[in-house]
Amino acid sequence: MSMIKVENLSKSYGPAVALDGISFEVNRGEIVGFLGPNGAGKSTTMKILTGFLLPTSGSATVDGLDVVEQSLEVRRRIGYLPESTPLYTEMRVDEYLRFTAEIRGVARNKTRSAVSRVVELCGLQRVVGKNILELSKGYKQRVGLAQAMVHEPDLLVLDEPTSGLDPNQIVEVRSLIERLGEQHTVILSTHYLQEVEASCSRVIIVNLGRIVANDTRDALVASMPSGPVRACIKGPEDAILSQLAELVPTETARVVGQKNGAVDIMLDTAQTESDVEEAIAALVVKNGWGLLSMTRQDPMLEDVFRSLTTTDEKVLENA
Amino acid sequence: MITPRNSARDSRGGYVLGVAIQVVLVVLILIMVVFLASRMRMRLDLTEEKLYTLTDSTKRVLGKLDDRLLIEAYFSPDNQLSGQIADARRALRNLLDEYVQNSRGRVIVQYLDPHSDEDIRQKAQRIGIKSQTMSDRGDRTLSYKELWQGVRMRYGGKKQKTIPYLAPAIVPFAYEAALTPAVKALTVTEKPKIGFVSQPAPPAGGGQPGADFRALRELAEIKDQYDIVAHPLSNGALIPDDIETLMVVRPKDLTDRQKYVLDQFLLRGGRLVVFADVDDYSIGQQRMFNRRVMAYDARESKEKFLDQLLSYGVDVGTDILLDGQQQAAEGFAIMRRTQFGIPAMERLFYPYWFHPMPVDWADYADQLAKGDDGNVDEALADNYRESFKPGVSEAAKVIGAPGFYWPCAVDLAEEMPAGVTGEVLLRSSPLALEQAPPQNLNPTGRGRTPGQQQADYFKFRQDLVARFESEPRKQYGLMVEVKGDFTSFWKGKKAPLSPEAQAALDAQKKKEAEAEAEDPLNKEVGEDPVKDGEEKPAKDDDENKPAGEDRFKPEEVGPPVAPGDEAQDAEIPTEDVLEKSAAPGRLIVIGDSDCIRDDIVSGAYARTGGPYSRTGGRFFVNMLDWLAEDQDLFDLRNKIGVDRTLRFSGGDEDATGAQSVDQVRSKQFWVRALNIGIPPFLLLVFGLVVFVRRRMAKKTFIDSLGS
Amino acid sequence: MREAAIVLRRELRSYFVSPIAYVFGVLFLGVQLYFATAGWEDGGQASAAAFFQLMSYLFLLFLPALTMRLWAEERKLGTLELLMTFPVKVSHLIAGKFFAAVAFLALILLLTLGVPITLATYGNLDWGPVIGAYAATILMASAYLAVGMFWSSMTRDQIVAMLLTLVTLAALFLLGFPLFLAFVTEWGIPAWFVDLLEGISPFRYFVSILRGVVDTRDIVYYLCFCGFFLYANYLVLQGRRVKG
Repeated sequence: MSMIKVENLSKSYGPAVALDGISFEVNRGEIVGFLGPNGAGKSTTMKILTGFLLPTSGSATVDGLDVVEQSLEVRRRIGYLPESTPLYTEMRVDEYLRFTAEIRGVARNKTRSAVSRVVELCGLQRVVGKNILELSKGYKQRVGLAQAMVHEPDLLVLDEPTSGLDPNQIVEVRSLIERLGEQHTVILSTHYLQEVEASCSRVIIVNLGRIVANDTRDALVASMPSGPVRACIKGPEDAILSQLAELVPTETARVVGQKNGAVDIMLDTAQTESDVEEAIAALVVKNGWGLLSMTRQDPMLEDVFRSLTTTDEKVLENA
Repeated sequence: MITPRNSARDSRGGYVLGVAIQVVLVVLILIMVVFLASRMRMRLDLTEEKLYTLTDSTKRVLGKLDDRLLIEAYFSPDNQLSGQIADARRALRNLLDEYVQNSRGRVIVQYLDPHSDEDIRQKAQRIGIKSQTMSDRGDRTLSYKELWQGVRMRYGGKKQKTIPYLAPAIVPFAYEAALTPAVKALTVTEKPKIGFVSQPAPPAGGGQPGADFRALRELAEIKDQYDIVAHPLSNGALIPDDIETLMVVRPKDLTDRQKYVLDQFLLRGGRLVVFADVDDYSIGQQRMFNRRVMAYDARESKEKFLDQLLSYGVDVGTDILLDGQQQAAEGFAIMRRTQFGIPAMERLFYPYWFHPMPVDWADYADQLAKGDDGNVDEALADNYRESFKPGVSEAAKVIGAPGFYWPCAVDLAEEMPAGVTGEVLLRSSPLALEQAPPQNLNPTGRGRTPGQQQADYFKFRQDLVARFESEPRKQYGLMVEVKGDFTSFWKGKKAPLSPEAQAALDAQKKKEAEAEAEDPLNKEVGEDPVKDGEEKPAKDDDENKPAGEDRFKPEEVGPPVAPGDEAQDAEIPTEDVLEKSAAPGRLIVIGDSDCIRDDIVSGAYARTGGPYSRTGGRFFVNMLDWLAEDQDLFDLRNKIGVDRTLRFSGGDEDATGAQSVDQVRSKQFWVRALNIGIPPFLLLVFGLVVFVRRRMAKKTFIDSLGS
Repeated sequence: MREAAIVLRRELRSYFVSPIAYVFGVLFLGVQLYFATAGWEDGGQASAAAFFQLMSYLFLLFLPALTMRLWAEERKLGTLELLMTFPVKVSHLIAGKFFAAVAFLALILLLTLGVPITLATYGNLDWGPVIGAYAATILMASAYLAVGMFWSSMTRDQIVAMLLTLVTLAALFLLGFPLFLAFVTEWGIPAWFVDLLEGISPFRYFVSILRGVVDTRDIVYYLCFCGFFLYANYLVLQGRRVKG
């Protein structure tokens, strides 16, 4: 059963179109990364899901409930961390968490245990009695996460949970999110690719208000054409190039360097030719050259992202 | 509330349109609600005097209407008024609406606009409605520079009454006080006659204009209801029978005949009111006091007026009465320069001017019985509890109490005459003292310099304190009522002759003297003319007697006529002495007359440092109604005159506690300083409490995490 | 309602844990009490009418400073987004904030009780109008607060919110000010319209309660006035959901 179901969702701010008919589903227990450049519509999607914004058209349901018609019910099931982590800075951490617990409907006699649970979960024990104003960025982020989970929501919506953090903090927060994913459905947005690679089971890439990819990480990578082959061959350069030209189209092969009498060659294989390494090896053996190294670069998510978002731009430009 | 959610899905334009429609709808609904609310208003009057509620007086008067009352309201139109005048008009219209509602359909209000129609304007002017020219001040805005706000009332097609102009007032009661007595006047069919005898105090010490008792009896409210007959005592005739009430204000130089007339009036069942007073004091130039020795009795009179009153059961003191109760006393104003050199009025404690206090003094028995050592003398306290009474009795509450200025004590006689019952209606506090009328009653003495004045005032206070410490606590009466069957003061005495009788007697004497001269044998007849008068050789044709005499002519009284005398005494008018009440009479004696003096009631006297009797007028009118057993307008009158003066000088329980000017000033300063200082301080204390509680909540929370 | 109470509690707490309450309270009480007690003298009248009259003017200046932050600050900090994604109706959010401000003000008013108590001690004070005046002051202050809250929701700049509130209240004040109305009448504006303008001003409805007469019409007016601005506030916040 899907936790989130978005169909043909559109949102425009005046003449500017932020979302242009996106549709996707998120299943229970998934951690879904929302990936896209700034202004792609990630935040807008999240704001609609959490009931802060109303869609211009289309529908979205959370746990089978319409985000517009049953907004309150939806909001009760969601824990939301908005972008830039807004907090009431004049409150103390414990006060703030208790307030969010109460307002999110945790029974009064259970607020204390709910708060102490998230304090432990998010590692806030040391700062719980401090004013939020005094906290470091990382701790503020954890308080933001804590408030989003204090009522044990079915769905966590995290808008750029790691932005502005230093690398150590990022690692901490990421591992926190991974732990959360064990119990909750999480949808997080980011423009850090590593984040998605590190913690997400599925990736949705949006660009210019449209979904350009929606799959597991591996499937996405697999769908990419294989990367270039790089071989370092010891032998006469002309012979090597001419021999290789028989094997692959000449324009794909180029010399990127020479060292110790060896030629460093890059072969861009646009088409998927999985046996090109084998052919090169055979060629080297046949001619008695020396093969110092041969590697093939697998496609990265980054490449997927870049290719998807840039091509789209080009498409748009052409149109 | 409808949410814009649904329209949001369609388009932005649709949303804006939806919101716009909603806003218009909401505004319309709100306007409707406000409009309906102003139509179906409910008002709750929170003021103590119920200033914004129709008095029971008005309801009673309206309830007694048995014919149609048309109120023609000559009003400038409402939409030409604004600001305070518009507010005032609104109050007036609301009030008139209430008159209509409370009149069982008898009252009809007709609004006429003198601006719109020249005929109406002329008619209004003809019947005496007067417009008022408005000052051009900014807060009084009016398209027309004249304001019409007068009414004519027409009752039953016969009687009518015009109120030329109702001055704009925010408090509708001000209108009610003018309208209701007018309605009442229209319904009065027969005005009771009130005899009014007064001795105006002559202008003393540079002249005190208005020291008369004229203003009150000329009030429209009184004139509408009562027919005041001035000075019915002057001709020496008996009081006509149609006068039911006789007021004697500041009785002075009364002849025996006048006393006799009063006696007979009372015995015939009249209501006699005496405003007694000891020597007359007044404040002249430079705050100097003038004392004029007062005598109740004319020099040649043989009987004393006070003895006469005593015979009816009223004991009037000859000393001046002072009340040491701080709250009861009215201040004596002096001018003093402040530290900045600005002259300012200061009020000194002055026990000769005071008000009866509406408290039960028995409640203060313990406090009053406290000795110097602070211990309560139980026996004395019990005694006080027994003997002390409220300052204002239940009966007097409807009339109210005036201020008393240089008064004398009025109590019931120790031995009440048979057939007479009495009640003390108003009393002083138990801190009152009597004093033989002194020459000077200025508390600051005769000194001219502030230093001397201060010293004199100090001595004045010290003398008072000394007296309070040495003398027992006692309450004195200030107003007494006795009623029942009185016995004539002239019972068994020779009644003074009426002027006619005297004249006739003189004439006869003269004739006899002449006759004697002619015929010395006739001597014995003229020997004792007074004896003749006393025996009142009655005559059957009473042409010379006052009209009402017959009814009270007791047949059993009066010795049988000696037939032989008839021819002889034919020209001497005689009257029957009523020795025993023919009908129960009422006598009310009040120990002060200044309380209804013109300049004291109007407040004019206050400008030269005198007292200001705010409640004297009400007291007077109420008493008239009370005596006439017509209480319709009591509620209307009793609504006014609540004293809301701030007194920083008060607060102490006895006469010795009054502070000096500087003390009052410093008290005032501290009261103000504390009022400004304490609230912010409390707020900060509250903040501290919040801070501490927050700390504690944090601690308990963190502790609970550890466990 | 539970949620409104939670919001109210948090708001009240934020007044008192930050310097706002104290700066506002001490300043207001100081100015109000200093001038209100200046007329006290022996022989004066024991009436609190001038005290409340002054208060209605001071509120004009002070309350915009109190309301300016209500929504503008939330918007600036971004907490509004979080607030509006809590499972709470917008109307409850508004009610919570509004009544927290009213409650705060009521507490400040409570601290002025020393004035009538002093008057009652040294004179014969009629408590009826005083009670009426306190009720009227609360109603009038609520009207001001509703206006201020509305403007605060319109902008994320607190100063702008304060100025707009000040201007709105000043305009409403002028509408109830006889001199201004006289001025307007001179322009030849029809009388019914002048009446309508005057009828809009909350100041006219203040006087009668101040005098000690509780009139349902005045109360209904104030409730409608507050209701209108709170409703406008609601529309603005809901409009945020559409506009983003």
